[in-house]
Amino acid sequence: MAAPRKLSREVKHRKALLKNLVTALLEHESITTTHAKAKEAQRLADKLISLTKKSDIEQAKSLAQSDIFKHGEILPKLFGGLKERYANRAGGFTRVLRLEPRLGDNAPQSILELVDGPQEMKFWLTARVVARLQQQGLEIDPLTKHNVEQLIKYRQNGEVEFNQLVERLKVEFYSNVESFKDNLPSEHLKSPTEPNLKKYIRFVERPTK
Amino acid sequence: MSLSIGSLGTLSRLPRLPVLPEIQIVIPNPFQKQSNSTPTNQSKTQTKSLKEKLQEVLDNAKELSLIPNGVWEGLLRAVPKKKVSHSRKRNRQLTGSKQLKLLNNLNRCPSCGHIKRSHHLCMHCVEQIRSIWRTDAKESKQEPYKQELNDQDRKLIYPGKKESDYEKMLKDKKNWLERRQRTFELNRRR
Repeated sequence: MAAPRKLSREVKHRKALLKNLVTALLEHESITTTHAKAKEAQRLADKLISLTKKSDIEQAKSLAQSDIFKHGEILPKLFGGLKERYANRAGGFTRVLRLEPRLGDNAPQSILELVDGPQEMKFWLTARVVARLQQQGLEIDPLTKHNVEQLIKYRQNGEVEFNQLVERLKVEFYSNVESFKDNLPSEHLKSPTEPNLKKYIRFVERPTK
Repeated sequence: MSLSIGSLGTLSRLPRLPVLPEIQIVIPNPFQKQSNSTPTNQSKTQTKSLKEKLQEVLDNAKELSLIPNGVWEGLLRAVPKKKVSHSRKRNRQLTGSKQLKLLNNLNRCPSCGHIKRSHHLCMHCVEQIRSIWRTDAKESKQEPYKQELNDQDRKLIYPGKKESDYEKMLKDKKNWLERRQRTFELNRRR
């Protein structure tokens, strides 16, 4: 495991920063910060949520208190709604999505979000892609198919919600089909499941003894 | 004797040195009491006149001085010993790490079709989705209680705020705020 980032801060300062980030994440379900901070906050948030799976809840609560501000608001949410939401998941309660660098100082930014939340960026973006493909009458490519499966898998009432969202986004963005039909051919969409390999590279099966 | 007489005669014939004028400097007595009335006013006028005189003297001094002021500044401050040559300067400014780099990790946004970095989100699409969330949040909010008032009463109770030019300028964000440019469309292969 890689060593945690120091974020050019002293111990107390760093701990307070991460506490602030995690409380904001648990309160609002998603935050936008620099990539390094998001990655560090992700570690802490995952740890906190996995604490809720402990059998001794009193002990877990007392442990969680040390990494959180606003105990009155967030502890009940963590041990109520979030615990219920992630009952079937073993890990991976959060997700980091990279954004374009910040305008002022060109710092790499990213979104840190709780999985299966009400306003999940990845859920909405994939729904948008599906809406576009359906509106164009094209097949859904294997990567988006995989993404949709992963998003729906543990979400309560996930498939219905996804389809509703697709219908909504069709109206929002792709109501006028002719305006974007020429612009978006599906043949240029490449997915990592079908890599564009060089012709002279040939894969051979591992020899067995 | 004749010599001495002669010498005296020659002396009398020599040109005379001009007579130096007598030195006349009047030093004011500081202990002498000022007899005039309204001493405060006078002192003010005196200081003013003194200032003006000083200014005049300084101005004249500038004109009269043979050495311009800039020379002294140059001599007293630290300056580079030699001019940095063109190649040296260009080498410093355009070292490999400071140049613009080519982006090879470009991709296509699956929802809008414009160029984006691979493994990154398309900022345009993200911003559009966020704007939807913002409108949703506005709609779900309850409308604040509105008081029913006459026009006259409203003017009295809420007279409004006068905005300064600076505040107006701040509100006009389109003119001064840096905005992210939309990425280019991908040119289709023909």
